[in-house]
Amino acid sequence: MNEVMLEVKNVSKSFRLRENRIDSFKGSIAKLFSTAGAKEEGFQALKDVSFNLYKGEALGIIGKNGAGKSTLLRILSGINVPDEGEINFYGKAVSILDIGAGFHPELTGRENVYLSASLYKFTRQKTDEKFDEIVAFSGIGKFIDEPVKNYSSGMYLRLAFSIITCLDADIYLIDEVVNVGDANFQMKCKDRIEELMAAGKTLLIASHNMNEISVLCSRVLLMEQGKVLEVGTPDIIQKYMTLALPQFFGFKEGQFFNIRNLSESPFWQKKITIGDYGIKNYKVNAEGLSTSHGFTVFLEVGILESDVDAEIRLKFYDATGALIFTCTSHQKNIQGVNAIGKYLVEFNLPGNLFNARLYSVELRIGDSKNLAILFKADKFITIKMADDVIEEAERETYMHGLMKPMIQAVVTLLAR
Amino acid sequence: MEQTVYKTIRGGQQSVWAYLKEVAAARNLIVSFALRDLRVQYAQTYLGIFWSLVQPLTGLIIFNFFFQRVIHLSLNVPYAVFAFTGIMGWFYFTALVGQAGTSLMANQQVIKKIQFPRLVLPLSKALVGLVEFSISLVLLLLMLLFFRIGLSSKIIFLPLVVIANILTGLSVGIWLSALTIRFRDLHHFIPYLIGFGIWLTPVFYPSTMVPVSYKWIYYLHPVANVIALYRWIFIGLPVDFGQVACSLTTAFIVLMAGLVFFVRNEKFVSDYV
Repeated sequence: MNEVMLEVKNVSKSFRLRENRIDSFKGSIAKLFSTAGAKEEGFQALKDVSFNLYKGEALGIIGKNGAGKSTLLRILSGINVPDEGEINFYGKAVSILDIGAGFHPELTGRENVYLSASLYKFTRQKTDEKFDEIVAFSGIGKFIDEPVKNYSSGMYLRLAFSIITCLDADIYLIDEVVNVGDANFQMKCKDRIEELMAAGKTLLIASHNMNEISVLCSRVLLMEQGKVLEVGTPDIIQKYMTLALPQFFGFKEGQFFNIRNLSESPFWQKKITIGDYGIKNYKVNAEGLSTSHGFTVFLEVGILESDVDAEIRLKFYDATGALIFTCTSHQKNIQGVNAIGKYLVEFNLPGNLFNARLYSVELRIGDSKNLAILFKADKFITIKMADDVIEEAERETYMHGLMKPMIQAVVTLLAR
Repeated sequence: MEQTVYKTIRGGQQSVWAYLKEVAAARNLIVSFALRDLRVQYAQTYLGIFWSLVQPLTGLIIFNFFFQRVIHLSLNVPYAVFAFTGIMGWFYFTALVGQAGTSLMANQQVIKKIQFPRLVLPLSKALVGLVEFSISLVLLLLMLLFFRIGLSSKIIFLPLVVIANILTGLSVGIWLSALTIRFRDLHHFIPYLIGFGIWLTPVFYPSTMVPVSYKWIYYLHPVANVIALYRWIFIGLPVDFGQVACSLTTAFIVLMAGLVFFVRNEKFVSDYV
């Protein structure tokens, strides 16, 4: 674990901005005669980035769009050259910045395998050895001698991914690729990545998908504005989320939740009114709402017309926008919101349901009688949940996942 | 534990020599790209690679008609053979200028995603052109047979002349490929360069038609001399070796300067695409 595979030392890179580029003779000549300062304004994409990648580990790179993740990978791949700094590889690296980047649609699968392999600097002999394995893993079968332009996009991706992962490298640099293709393909990709890890390969993965990173990676590197903010366990993903989405969550100073002003949202149909709303019965700890304690979301709804059967729904999302669950007021044996009048709707969310994460709640009021949407507000409520911390030493271990229900484990000693 | 460094990436300049070693290591990529281009260019056509003969042949028919029926140029060798030797050399040259010159632009997608020595791209075009050239060569041999012109022992110099032809094409092609990435205007300029070039080169007319006061141009005109060498080999026309040496040296210097320029600019290529 202590053997360094990749050493990144003080790497900086800036790009010339398009308006400053000399892309034509006209611009070039204009530049010659301009008296403006010769110094070009650049955009600094990476500032003094340093880290080590150790043998057998999977390091995840996270950060907002524009934080420098892709630039870093492009530099590690040798596509862009750093302005300053040094990178040492202690093994053969392949970078997967795009699946099927070297493919040509007119060539057959077989020809593309050889072309891609030589692009990744594998010898023909090596490719010959691995060819059957590549075809087998891709599941392309007899279509290997068809031009890839006739492939389905799934076949195309499978073949491209097979080429890269079947060829033996020591270090794999992967950028977002596992997010392409259908669910089936993504599963296969992830399985393959786990196989590579099991085989002792070293991985560097940049991704927006926090869940994926926290599942696959043992360490995470957090980037912000071209700098390495922190390297550590997947716990720091939480930090990323607060960092990435401050406007999104709009917490006020010292608060761990935000309730949107619904009067700003337009009513889709003027059949209802909304009164008081918010959350109550919550417990706050040092870092957020307590995950061990429940809370109640309440909403007062007035019905103005008699032909309405209102259904109030809450949709819970995690910070990455994945829908976790929905709850509805349309339930058997409870009061319907279906006649002129004023109603109070409450949803009691239990403790030990949410994980220590950020969540957002969407409100939707539908009319089930007329199959219409009456009102809709996304990010109706945004909340930050946090585990109770008694003492630093007793800090609960971080659990992966979108939720953290309390699941009882039963362990029985059968024999000794 | 001291580990061996497999590869180092560093800012700053790379030496041309180290770069050329990297290119040599990627030689199978040159072949792969060449095969790709040949396959793609003629994919799903009935004539396939023989399409590469269509352009030189139409050129030949037009020149033949013009210089035999309209102008009545008299040479002591069959005009068709004379013109075709010129066309062969010129087309290989222009294929290199045109295709090598635009090779970086044409492969931007790959350049953005995969690292490899970019010089491989223009170099692979030399191989593509060589295949097309060989097919023309077969046609030339058939023409020689038809006109009952025997092959002289000078044929052993053919490989050297072909190499000179390649180097001449690359001397321009490598410059253009590196320049077009920064100066996109050149992309539009290349067809004109080729279009004008044929008039300044004794492809379809003999250099003896050029007034003596302009002869000095040929000292700096490597393609004209490559063509003269082809004619010397196949139809025994006299050749001025002083001119050949001078012009090929020029081409070689331009090529070397082009290589240095290419290597210096290579690291910016992916910043610009």
